[in-house]
Amino acid sequence: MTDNKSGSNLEKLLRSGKFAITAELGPPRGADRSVIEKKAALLKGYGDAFNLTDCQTAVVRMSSIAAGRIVLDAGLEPIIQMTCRDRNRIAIQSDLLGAAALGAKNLLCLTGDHQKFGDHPMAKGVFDIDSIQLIQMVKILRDEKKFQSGQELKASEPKFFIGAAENPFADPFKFRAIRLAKKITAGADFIQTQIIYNVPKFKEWMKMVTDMGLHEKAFILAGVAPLKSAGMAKHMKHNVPGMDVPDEVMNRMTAASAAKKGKEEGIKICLEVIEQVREIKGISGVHIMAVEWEEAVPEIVQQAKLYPRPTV
Amino acid sequence: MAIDKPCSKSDKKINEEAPCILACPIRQDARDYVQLIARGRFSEAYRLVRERNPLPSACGRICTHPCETKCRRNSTESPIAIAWLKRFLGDNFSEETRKNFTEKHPEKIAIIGAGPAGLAAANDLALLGYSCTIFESNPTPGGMLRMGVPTYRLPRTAIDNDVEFIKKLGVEIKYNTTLGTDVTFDSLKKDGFSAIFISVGLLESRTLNIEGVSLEGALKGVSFLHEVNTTGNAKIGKNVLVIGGGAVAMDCARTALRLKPDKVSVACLESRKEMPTTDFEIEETIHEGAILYNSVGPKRILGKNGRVTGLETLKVKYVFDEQKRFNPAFYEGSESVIEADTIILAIGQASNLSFLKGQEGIQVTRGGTIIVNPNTFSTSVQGIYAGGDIVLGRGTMTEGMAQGKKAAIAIHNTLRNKALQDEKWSEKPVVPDIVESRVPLIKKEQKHDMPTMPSDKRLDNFEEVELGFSLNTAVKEAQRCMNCGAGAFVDDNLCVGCLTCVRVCPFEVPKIKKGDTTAYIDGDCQSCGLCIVECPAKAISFKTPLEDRGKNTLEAVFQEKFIQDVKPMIINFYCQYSAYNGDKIDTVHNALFSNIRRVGVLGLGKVDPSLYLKAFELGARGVLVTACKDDTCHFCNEREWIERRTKYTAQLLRGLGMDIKRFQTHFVSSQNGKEIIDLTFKMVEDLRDV
Amino acid sequence: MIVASSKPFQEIKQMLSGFKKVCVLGCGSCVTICHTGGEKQVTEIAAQIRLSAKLEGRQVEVIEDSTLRQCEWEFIDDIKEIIKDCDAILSIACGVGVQYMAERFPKIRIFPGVNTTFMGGPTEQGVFWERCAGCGNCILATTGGLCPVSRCAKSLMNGPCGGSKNGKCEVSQETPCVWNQIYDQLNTQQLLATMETIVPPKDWTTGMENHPRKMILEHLVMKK
Repeated sequence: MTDNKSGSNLEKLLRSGKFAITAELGPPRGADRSVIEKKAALLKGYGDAFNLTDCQTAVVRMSSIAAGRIVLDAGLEPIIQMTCRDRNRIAIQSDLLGAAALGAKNLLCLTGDHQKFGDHPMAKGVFDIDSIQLIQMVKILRDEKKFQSGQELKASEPKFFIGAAENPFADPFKFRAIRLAKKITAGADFIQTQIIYNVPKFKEWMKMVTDMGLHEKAFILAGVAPLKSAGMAKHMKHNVPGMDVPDEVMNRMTAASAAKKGKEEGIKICLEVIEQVREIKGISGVHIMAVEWEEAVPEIVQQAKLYPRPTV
Repeated sequence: MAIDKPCSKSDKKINEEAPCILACPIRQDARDYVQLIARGRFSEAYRLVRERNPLPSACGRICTHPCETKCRRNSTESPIAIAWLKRFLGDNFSEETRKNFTEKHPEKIAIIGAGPAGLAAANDLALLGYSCTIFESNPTPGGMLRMGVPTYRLPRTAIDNDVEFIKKLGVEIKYNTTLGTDVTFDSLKKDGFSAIFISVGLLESRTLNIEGVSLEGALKGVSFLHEVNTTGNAKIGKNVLVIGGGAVAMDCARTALRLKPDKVSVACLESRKEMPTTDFEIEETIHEGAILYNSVGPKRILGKNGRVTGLETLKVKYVFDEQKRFNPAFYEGSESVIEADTIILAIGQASNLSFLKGQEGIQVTRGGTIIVNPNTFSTSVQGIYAGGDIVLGRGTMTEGMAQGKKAAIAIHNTLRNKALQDEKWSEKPVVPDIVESRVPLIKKEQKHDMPTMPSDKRLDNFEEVELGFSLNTAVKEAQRCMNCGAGAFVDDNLCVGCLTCVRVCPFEVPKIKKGDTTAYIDGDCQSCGLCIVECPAKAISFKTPLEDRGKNTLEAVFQEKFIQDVKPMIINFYCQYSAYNGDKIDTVHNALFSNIRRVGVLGLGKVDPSLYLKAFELGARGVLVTACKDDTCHFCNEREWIERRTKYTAQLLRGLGMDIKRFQTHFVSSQNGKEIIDLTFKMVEDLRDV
Repeated sequence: MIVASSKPFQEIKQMLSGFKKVCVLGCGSCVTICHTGGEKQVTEIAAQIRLSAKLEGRQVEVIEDSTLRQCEWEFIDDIKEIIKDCDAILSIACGVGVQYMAERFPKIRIFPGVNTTFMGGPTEQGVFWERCAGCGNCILATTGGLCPVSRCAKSLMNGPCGGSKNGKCEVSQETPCVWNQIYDQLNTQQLLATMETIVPPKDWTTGMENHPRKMILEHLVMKK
């Protein structure tokens, strides 16, 4: 592929053709940095870069950039997440400059869940720009050294390995691959998909994606997540936007939770998904989202026989 | 914001009048008195009838009711029994009306003949302020009504009842006084009469110019009827044949039947359809036993020894020629004989102008009728007027009355040198027929039958055959009326074109035509009132002044003396359409008088929710809404509207902190039965707890 | 048209408490058509005010009136006499009308009786949907005639987002995802290629960001 844009570990790994693992690290709902440090300690070595979510599902948490810095200090590589819900283009560009100055090299650009899902549903949703415009803006900052207004940067430009999210299970289904193409045209270098439980449908989407040759333009990481309990499965199915939890999975989790073996089953299902998606043409890695269960990540990575992580 | 006269743009016709009113020769407010009966306002209805009609009891029985022929309910099932409803009023709710006159005039007016035309003229002239004296040659009033109409159709008491009320206006009737012998034009002038109105009618029977017409047993129809009407009997043989196809012929046949001959038959030129009388009359005649020979014409009366033995007839080819003139033609060689020993000629009436001797100046036609100026009703002699059958040549009772009414105004205008107009005679466009696609949307309700004397009893007497509507039947019949020409209309100045009325109307009537900015409601409006309540701009109202949508009735309740002593006071809004089914409406009213006051509306869909609030505002402790169930709803599906509106009202009341037991809605089968009583008592109990 | 919804009666009661002579003033324009501010609603609200006062043993005089539009000086001047002795006016016109009234009659307390919500229209009797956000820079030409500014919860220009499922927005099962609808519409008109183009960030200067906005038509302004 092309040259390294950001110099991040993740980018190097992917560009060298290795199967990458990224995982999520949720910042705390407080100002205590030790929470992050503890999680970082847990995850160190079990992934190639780690997402710091940006007020996920519109719930107030420590900022992604601050958490990212803490994670860097702990020796892990962060992926900063940026949504369009809470900031206008001025604040976004300002934050990006700051993030780059603090050492961040990976950036995931998102639209952001609607504020109604979070703990402050009365807040004004900004949405000055959308995720595609954000990707484009970051690319122009990096490659053309220009602000969104068209004016030139005065000092050095932020060099980000640009990521985007895509949901293979959203509608209209036929449009999803085209939308991915749009993001890639805008400047996305890597993609992390929404959590997969419905592998057949995911395969359909990947077929559309590979038919368009998009896997050759950006790296696609399949999103997976271990379920903890039937309750969590139900919550994801009904309350989390964009999720597709098939009945089969629901039933397995229901039975397992009843037998008090929810977590085991959840990990089992997660491993099954990882095994299947690894075989799909165009997949360059997995993105493990163990929400508030970071401890599960080492187990999953080990059982999937992906430990230790390669170096480049 | 409210205006007192409906106004609209361009081609939006809103002054279309109901066909029943326009068809009536005297322009009776048929629709309006029917609408009043439908609402249980009987006295008002009678007064409305009386305002234009001086002979309600007679009209209600023998009028040819052209109003019913034109009734728009002919398109749905059958016309409203407009005449029978008038009789119901005349028989049960007659009262003296009009005690105060606008102004009294000095002139005395003489009217010759106390028949329909003369009585109508006297009535109207008296109301205009003149002293009237009617000179009647018979000992009793009524003219042709008394002489020619049998008592089984029109009891004498009905005629006398009507005439009594005319006399109460100050009209004097001098009986047994004949013009030409007892009084003359000169004597009347000398007695100070400023005008004379000749309304003597056509008292002679027309005779046929055929062989045998003076044989014994050949009778004149009117004389025959007069004899039976006055003495109760007449000399007839065993086999009676009536010649003629009109109302008088039917009267002769049915009268003859009551004299118990062996056979009564009727022979007429017309085919069954062409006979110039109502189907009802023909059917009753056949029902009572007469045999009908249609489409035959009289050639000659056969006789033996000076007595009638039969009628030789010819088959009729046609009665009316290509120019629609009465010009019967016969098939040659089609002779046949109907046997009879009595032949009654009922082929029309003719005048007796002997009273004109000595006053040759009055011009007459060759046919024996008096010529008058159609506007002034004046004859060729100044100060002498004429009207009724004597001018028309032939006519119905109401046509005669119309003549009398028009003549009264004409005489008044001449005497006062004024130009008073009766605007009821003015030309108005008629509400057109119901659009066919709407007919299925209207609930079908058959015309109520007139209870009649059982057929086996009829021929024993001359008592009235039709027994008259009961109160409940009258109201239910009147409630079929569609209120043509008096339904909802949109005030163009207030309408905002929101399309609400277009969407809510169950009969799909309101429209906003392309090019218009406001809605238009045409004559098919069924007066359900849904759009009036739903209109957010309050731009729609009823044309009829008879509908208050509950407002006045509610306010009247609180004007009642000692109303504050009724505790707990419940106002029951109920639908009048199901209030006349079984029990008398008073039953419930009386049973619950200590707790409830009822506000009846002809269709609860007309009631605005804010009226329920108003009831509380005025002092009601509870409001009980009793509406009709879906299967009995007159407008087919108002239940969902009542539910929606009462739910909304309950919501508003809850928002005011009111205990919701104080406002209840129920759907009942009858507004007068046990159901209502139970509901009320339950509500009284509920209110004690609140 | 402007759509407004009725304020709960408790709120109205609170606003009007203590005032003795109140006028409930309707408007014959948009709010009549959406059945919250017309003459019929004036009558209903006045009835509630009176009845509420009666239930609580209070005295209040309520006058009912309405203007053709409350956003015209001439029309509200017409009711000057009627309201002059009122100490409070409950205007059930949209926020524009309420402000006109407040400006014209500064000595009388003016209260809003409805919540002005959006620009939209009825899709069937009784159901009203937002259609326009007044962004000042209409892009309907490129979106098949469906507006993402007013009908997308996130006002996306390059939608749909990942939350669109079964044609519905992540915010509510009852809300159609307008980007899904735009997709279908452009598909019908064979203009899907439009959706492959990246729409740059919107210029919001013509929108709400620059309150209060105005429009001047020079050729209509009359010199005094």
